Amino acid sequence: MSALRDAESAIVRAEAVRVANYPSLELTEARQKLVAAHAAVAREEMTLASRLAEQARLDAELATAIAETIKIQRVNEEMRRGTEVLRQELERQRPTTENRP
Amino acid sequence: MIPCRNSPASRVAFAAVLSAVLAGCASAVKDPGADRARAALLELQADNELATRAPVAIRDAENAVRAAEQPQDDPAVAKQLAYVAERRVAIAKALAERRHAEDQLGSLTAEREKVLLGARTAEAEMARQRARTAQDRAQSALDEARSQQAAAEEARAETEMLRKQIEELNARPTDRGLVMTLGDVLFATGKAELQTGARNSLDRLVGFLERYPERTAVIEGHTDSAGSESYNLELSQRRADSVRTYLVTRGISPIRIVAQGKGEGYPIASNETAAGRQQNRRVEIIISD
Repeated sequence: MSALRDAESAIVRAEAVRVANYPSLELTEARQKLVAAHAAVAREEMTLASRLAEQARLDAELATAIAETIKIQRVNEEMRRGTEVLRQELERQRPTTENRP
Repeated sequence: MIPCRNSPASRVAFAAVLSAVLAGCASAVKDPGADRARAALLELQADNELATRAPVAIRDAENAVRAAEQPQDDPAVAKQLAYVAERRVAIAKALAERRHAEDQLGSLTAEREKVLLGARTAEAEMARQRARTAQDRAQSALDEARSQQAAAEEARAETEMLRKQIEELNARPTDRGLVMTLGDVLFATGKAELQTGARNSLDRLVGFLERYPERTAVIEGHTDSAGSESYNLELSQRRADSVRTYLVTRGISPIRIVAQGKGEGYPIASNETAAGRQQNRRVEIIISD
């Protein structure tokens, strides 16, 4: 079933970009739905299986999108903080420069 | 069987009959999730920072929401469509936020570069100031060395000049100071008036005293032993006075000059011979160091 394969590879992608120390509800949901989809296939409830697989794929895609956004936002935050520290460092250095004979 | 939707039968005036008929078939439904998806999409489209940043994902979300808004015979299908719509909107929002963050990263990097450039400029300015200070110090040390050298040169020249002047005065250094001895050629025998020939030696003294204004002079008159002691004392005083007067008329301040008649009491040679007596008849000028 191609919907299942699509869901599986979306989950693999989401795992790959996962942000460390950041629990992703969407990814957990995607995994649970994939398991449920497999169970539905086993019961031969193919319509339900394909719906669950589609949901799992979308959950995983959302998990990926959120993880990538968070990563860049963290880089930004670090950059902002670093620049601020640098600026303060320069401010501290400037007066001593002027006091030098 | 009467179709559930868009059938002329559904517009039949007999409502009771109609509802009874409709109750027998599944009514067309729209999942409440469709409305939530629409609301979230509207919010995303109204956000100026995000609306333009993920156009493809937002169009996909729009299509998914529209599909979810179509009433469905099967509630499970409606529910699935609403779920897809909500997820599509959420994905579009996350993507737009990511693009926004990427743009911010660009301007944050530019700002960092600016601050770093400022840091390098400040550092260069500091280095330039340090170099300038060092250069200034070196220059003033050089200037000082030069002026010390010049001062030493001047002092040496001054000493040399003084030595020459003293030589010209025919003076000799002693414990009391420089002593200049003027022989008896200054005065006629028994007279205290300066002879014309004396002026040359005294003018050299005037020149010297003008050049060294802090120096003072003691003028001592001496005689030989011919004549009475009191006469000699008085004559030596008048002679010393006349030297002093001459110096004063040439512009030397009287407070710098003391005239003393010493009489015959300080001979420098024997009074027994004519040559000795001539040596004893003299004026000595003692110049302070």
